[in-house]
Amino acid sequence: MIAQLLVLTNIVGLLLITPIIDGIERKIKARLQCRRGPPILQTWYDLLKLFRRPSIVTEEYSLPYIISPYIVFANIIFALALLPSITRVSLSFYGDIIVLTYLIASSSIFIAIGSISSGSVFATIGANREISIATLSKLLIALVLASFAILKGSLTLEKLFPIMPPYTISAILAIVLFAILAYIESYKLPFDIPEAEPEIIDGILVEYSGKSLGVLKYSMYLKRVLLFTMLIDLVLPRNLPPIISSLAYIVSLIFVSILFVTIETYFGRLRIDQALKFMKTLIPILLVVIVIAYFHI
Amino acid sequence: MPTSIYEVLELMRKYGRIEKIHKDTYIVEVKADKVKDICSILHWKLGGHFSVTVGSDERLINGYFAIYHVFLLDEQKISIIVHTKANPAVPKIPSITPIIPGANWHEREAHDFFGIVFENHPNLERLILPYDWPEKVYPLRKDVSIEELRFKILKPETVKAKAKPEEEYIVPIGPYHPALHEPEYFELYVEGERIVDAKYKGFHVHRGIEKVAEERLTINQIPFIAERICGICGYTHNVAYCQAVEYAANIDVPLRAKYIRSILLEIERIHSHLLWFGVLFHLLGFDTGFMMTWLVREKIMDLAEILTGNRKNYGMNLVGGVRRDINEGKIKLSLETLDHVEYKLRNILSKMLKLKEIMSRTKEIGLLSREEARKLSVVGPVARASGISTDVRKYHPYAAYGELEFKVPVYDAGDVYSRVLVRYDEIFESISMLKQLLKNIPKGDLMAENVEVPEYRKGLGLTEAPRGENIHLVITGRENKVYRWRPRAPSYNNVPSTLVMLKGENLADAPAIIASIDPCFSCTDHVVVVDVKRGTRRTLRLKEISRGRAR
Repeated sequence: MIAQLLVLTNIVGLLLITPIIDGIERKIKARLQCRRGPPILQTWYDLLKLFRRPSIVTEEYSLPYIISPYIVFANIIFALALLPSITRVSLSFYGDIIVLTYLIASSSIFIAIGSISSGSVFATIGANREISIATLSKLLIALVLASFAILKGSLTLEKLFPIMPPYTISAILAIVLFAILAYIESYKLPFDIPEAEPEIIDGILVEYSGKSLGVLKYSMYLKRVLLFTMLIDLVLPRNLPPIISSLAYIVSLIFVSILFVTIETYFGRLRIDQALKFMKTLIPILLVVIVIAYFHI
Repeated sequence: MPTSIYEVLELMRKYGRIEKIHKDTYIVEVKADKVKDICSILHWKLGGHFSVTVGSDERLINGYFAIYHVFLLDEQKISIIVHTKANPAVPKIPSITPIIPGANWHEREAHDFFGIVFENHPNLERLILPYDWPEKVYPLRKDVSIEELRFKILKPETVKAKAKPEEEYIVPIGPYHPALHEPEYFELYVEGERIVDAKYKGFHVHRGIEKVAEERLTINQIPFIAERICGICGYTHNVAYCQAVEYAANIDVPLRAKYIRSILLEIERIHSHLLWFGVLFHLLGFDTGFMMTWLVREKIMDLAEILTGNRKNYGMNLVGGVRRDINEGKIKLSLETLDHVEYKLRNILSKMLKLKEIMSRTKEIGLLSREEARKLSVVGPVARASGISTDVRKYHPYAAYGELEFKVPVYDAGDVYSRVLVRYDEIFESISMLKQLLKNIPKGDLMAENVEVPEYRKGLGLTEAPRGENIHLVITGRENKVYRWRPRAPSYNNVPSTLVMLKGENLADAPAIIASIDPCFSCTDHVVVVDVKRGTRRTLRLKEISRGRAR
């Protein structure tokens, strides 16, 4: 019972702080661009405003367009429950690593299906791009999770964290690769191709408004935090006292998001073929990592 | 081939009567059957380029319709206007579009407004007038008044959209697309991410400036409406108009006024180019660059405000001179600001242009070969990036440019990156020119003393706007009015070239390609509200487009 409550605390806590994390990112980004930037709570204000508004739908939508934001949201919440975050407790069962991979992949797929069902040409192109990137990045994420599983000899997430010790080359490489993938997956520049504003007017998001846009945006922020959490879990030592571990988690969350947003400031957007080319070069590296992980190097 | 002015003029004399209308500008009156020959010689053999076609209803003066094809000969530093008369009952003139494809829009515009038929024109459809405009009503003819147009002839109609399924996806960009905040409409036909065809429909916002100016405004009111043709480079239009009238009336503008005009023109160029850099960076997703270039641009805007009292729409010109002086304190302040801006730009901009993403998203993209550029007669930085050295400031000096030292940057690659580099170099050339101007500005009057404007004289005003050459043809009229005023903005010549650049490129590159010519649609649309496409082509209503729905 206590474990369930702690998992609930995790999720509620993350729901509360995720928009603040995004607010901090916006502030940092603005400062780096010589702007003053919005207040840190701005993302919360935006979301609350969107939740109050009705959703306007297109004339030729079909069902997935309406429900997919909520499916994506549910997916992400479930995935968050699988990872230890604010408290170091999580839902844990044999094979949850596979469930996590599935949840991350299905959230992308539902975003794409939802926007295709809106009937807009810009959304279709956005979805097309989303799927092109997702097919590669999900494969890469599956591979990187496989290398973690091999390193630790387990398919349960709880036994994976933290990945070190053992301090092997493969472990370090796998963490670095996961960090890169987390960066790509969180639609940071230069990889925000599916929602490129000047090219296809926010692509996948173009036909969403009001509540459904709010839910979709919220899930995207949560997905970002999910990936950051995973990255932190891989590194954060396990046997810290409860309060300190919560604090350490939140501090590292802010640190990772600031790091990522700082990198983002120095990039323009890649074209989709350039992005795919970059991601393809990661595949052989990952395969090598898996092999050396198997031999405990 | 003849190279000196004398030889060129001798050659022209074979075709018709030649007359010097003012400094470096000659008008050749030819018979309709010789128009094609003389235009082909001027554009393809003498190294000149086609600049503008102006239609005119001169039935009140001499009983004919007139067409003026203007050519600029950079090598000889002269402009030649080919003048043809057309019978007022059945106005027909051979088209020059088959020889010079760049004349396409110009001739269609003259057809729209004056009903002059261009024989053998490949596509003499309506360009500017909306499809529901009544037949046989030609708005710029002198026998149609604004009141008649507004209250009798035009009756708004609603039209049902007819959607037709297409094989490829059509990506409509516009009329209001977040990437280009101006009313333009590109239709991109894409397969996957690749553009297979592109179509452009512009002229959504016709303001009827020409008609208003000819019918209602006096000569000294027009500079202010001319400045409002463009929201970015309006002052070049203002100067071009004033120069045209000054040439026509043979008014001698004091040197100090010329210097002040040049100073403001260059300030406007720097602000326009920096604005463009910001937009380009934003389109490529590089918002840091966007913010930083605009931060520097703000200094230039402040400078304009210090010198003229306004950030935009300086309102400095009258026919014969300028209205406000620049004192020593302002000159000192300007020089300091320029040093600061130059230092900042050398630091920021040069580093940004070396970024890998910027390079990979602009190099070898949106190619326009030298031949295509010549055919379409593109101007300004677009031409200079395709290896054509053309610059009105250098080859047809006006204001104080004859006394300055500067280079004309030319690049041969013809891609988006070359256009970036041309503008990058131009910013620093402009800064150096500004320093020369501010240091050497002579003492003297601001206005010419005698500003009498005689009637029915022609004047050709040229300026190098940030986007390319700006050309205004003015025929002065009676009672302190102009008889005919035709402003031609550089984007008018440059926009057709985007259709060549877009074919075969990636959809993701389309905004950067369209932006690379620095299009100014409000300049180009100097003239109607069009919301629908004609004929067999699919019809899209504004409401549909704004929702991005195109199937």
